[in-house]
Amino acid sequence: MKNIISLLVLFFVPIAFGWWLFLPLFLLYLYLAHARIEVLVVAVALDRVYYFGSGFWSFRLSIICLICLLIAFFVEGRLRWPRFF
Amino acid sequence: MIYLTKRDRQTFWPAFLGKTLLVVFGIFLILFFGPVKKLVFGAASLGFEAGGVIKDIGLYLPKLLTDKHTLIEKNTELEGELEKLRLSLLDADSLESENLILRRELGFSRTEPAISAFVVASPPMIPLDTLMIGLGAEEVSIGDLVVVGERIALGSVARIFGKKSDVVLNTFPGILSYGHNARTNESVEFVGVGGGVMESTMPINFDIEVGDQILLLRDRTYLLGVVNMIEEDATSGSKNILVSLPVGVSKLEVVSVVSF
Repeated sequence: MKNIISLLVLFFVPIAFGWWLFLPLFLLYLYLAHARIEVLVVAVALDRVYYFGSGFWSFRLSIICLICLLIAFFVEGRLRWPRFF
Repeated sequence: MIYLTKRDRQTFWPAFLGKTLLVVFGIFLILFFGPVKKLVFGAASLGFEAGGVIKDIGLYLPKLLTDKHTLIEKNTELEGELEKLRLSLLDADSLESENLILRRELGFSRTEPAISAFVVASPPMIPLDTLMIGLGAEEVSIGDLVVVGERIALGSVARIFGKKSDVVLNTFPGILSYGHNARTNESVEFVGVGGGVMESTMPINFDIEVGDQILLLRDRTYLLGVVNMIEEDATSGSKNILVSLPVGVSKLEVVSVVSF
């Protein structure tokens, strides 16, 4: 439930207040929930909602998200990192 | 004490792969399946409208917190300004009607009407150098010119979804704009670099000055931008010209769309 609510917040808050809010909110989500791949669905949805141009870089939020998720995935087993939900 | 946790391989990987497949399926639906796309854009529209309401409340709050006497003084000042503006509007109206008659006589009159559109979202709510307007596929098509007022060209329609469209401003990175200098009548080409700026590199002896207006000739003459900085590089014999949009995009509420 917490996960669904946080994914909805990740989708709606940037739309209502500014697209750039996705990045700090995503980092907060990453800290609280570790490498949860379902956040990629929200990133792709936001990439489609906003116009970032055409081509590879039109998926810029998804690319940033994927890189951070990969880093988190490889380091989460090596750090003392409490999971909040 | 610091301790390390290890993943249980037997339970972790099957669950992880299952979740990954679900996520990939979800992404596939968002990208290629029409009803899901519509759902995402519908939810986004709801968010944009909520954002608009929040923005309006945020703009109204300072008025609530100011002193009554200050508001009365400001009101008197504004009434005076309103009167001045009304007079100048009458002047502009008479000039416009005269201009219209002249255009009609010369055969310059516009055949296609311009459609007004409300700005649904503007930066920083959405990425810089884009605008979202409330017109759909029935009213506009991709490539239509978006103007402010009567003669300021902002950009063009780049994407239409549902009853909304994305407008790419001329200053969006990589967008090429062609125009001519109003003072010298020489043609110039600019490329958008983002942040409300277009740039062009020209020979150092090219006649262009800060404050020059760059015009775009379509069905009528539109103002594309104003030269606001020139950086000369004597070693390469060239100069870099930066042109900015003549209006602040973040406070726009209504724009016009011109179809050709």
